Amino acid sequence: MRTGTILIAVWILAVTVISIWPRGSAESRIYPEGEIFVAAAASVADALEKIAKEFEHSHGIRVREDFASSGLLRKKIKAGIKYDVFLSAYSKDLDILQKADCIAPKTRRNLLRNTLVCVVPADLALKLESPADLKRPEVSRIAVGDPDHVPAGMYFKEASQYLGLEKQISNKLVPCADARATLAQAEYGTVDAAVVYLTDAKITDEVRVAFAFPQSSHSPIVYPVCVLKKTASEEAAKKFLKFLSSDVSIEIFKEFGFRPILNEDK
Amino acid sequence: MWDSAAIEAMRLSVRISAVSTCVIAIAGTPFALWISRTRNIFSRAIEAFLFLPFVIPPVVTGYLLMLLFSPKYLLGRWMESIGLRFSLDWKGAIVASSVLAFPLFMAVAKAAFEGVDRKLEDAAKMLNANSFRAFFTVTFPLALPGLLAATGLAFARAFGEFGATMMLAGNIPGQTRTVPQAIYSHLLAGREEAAWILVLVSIGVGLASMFLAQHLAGQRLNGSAKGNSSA
Repeated sequence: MRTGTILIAVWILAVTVISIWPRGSAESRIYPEGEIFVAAAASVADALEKIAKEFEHSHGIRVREDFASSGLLRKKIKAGIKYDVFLSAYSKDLDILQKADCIAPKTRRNLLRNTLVCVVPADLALKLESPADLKRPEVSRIAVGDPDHVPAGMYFKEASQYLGLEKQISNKLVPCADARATLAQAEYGTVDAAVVYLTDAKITDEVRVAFAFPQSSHSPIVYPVCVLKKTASEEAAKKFLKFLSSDVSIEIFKEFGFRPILNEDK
Repeated sequence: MWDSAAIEAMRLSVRISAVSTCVIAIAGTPFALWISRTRNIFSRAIEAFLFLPFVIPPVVTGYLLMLLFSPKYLLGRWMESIGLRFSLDWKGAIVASSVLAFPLFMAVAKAAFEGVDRKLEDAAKMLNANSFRAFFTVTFPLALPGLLAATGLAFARAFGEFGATMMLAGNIPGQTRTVPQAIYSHLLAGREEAAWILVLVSIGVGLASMFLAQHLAGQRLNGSAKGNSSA
């Protein structure tokens, strides 16, 4: 009985202490110039985190990020969640937001390009050389972004229609919640192939690129960026946008396999 | 409103949870009887292990199942070689929901067996019934309402399984996109109206199972109240 009482006391104490424990030290750093909240496509996560750190150092503005599928972020923005900057993997998301008057004027521009590739788990002997190989019977599961809201999946859908594969592979497809979740399936080895961006394929050794989809088979993969109209810190957001085109950022984007779009005509 | 995707999700959910519930009831009944009558460290350890999925995050259970059955590793690769696949497959959804619903069945069924007075079975044996007959004519009928309540709750739990199913079986339309997965997909894609139909279906199935279990538990109370009001 006494052991029981002690156990319960320890448990209650532990729960109480953990509940009231202050937030981690990262939060206590002071950012004199305020903060911005960036919504970004899951596929730019690693590059953007690195850029955000550089930006925080040089500008004293804290960057908070929310990485998810572009379609989901677009819906959250329309539903009124207050982000300051939106970096999407799909131009149409910004078209929709533009119509809904959510974008701050003259801030939209195209930032990056990417390539759609098919990867296979690195330890799999399977050799795939072209999109038509996805029809082969040895390929039983293909991870793709859910074409309902994940841009990588929409590009893949376009490509599979263009290449006339759609019907033959439809029952092999495993729709995933965003670009990174798609990659993860290949890393876990639960699928025989996954359709991801070249940049995603580069962040892991556990997959290897089997082939790239022809550029002509889908609409161009362009990542547009903009400041959102509801922003409470427009100046800081504009500084961040400018920083995204700085030499530092361009180097980081390139390092992750993106092709930055330079001197683009508006 | 009742689009084909919603009907497909419901059909899958019913099929997967029905098979899971059968597996659970068949395996779980003897198991619950055993743990209700055994008090050694071995049985306690097994009971605690099988109860674990009830108290740890379902996504953890799902992740471990995913690793276990991934074609990348030993067991999954061997299963693949004999043509059996759990990973990203409807059979995996059955495994996930069985593992997750088993603890609930086990807890309720164990209580049902414990609620039956062992003296009644002993009395039957004194009247020359063998153990087998004493169990099936005395203990089992008395525990049956509790076992059925356990089965109903297990069905409801299996029907609602989401986290582990997502990890092991994925979210494949027509194969593993069950009602909860379909709701998740609808909400991700911003189709709230479509999600609501399935939300109501989920609540309906849950309520129906609860009423069934309550009704059966009430029967058990009435049945045993004659002898012992504290049952």
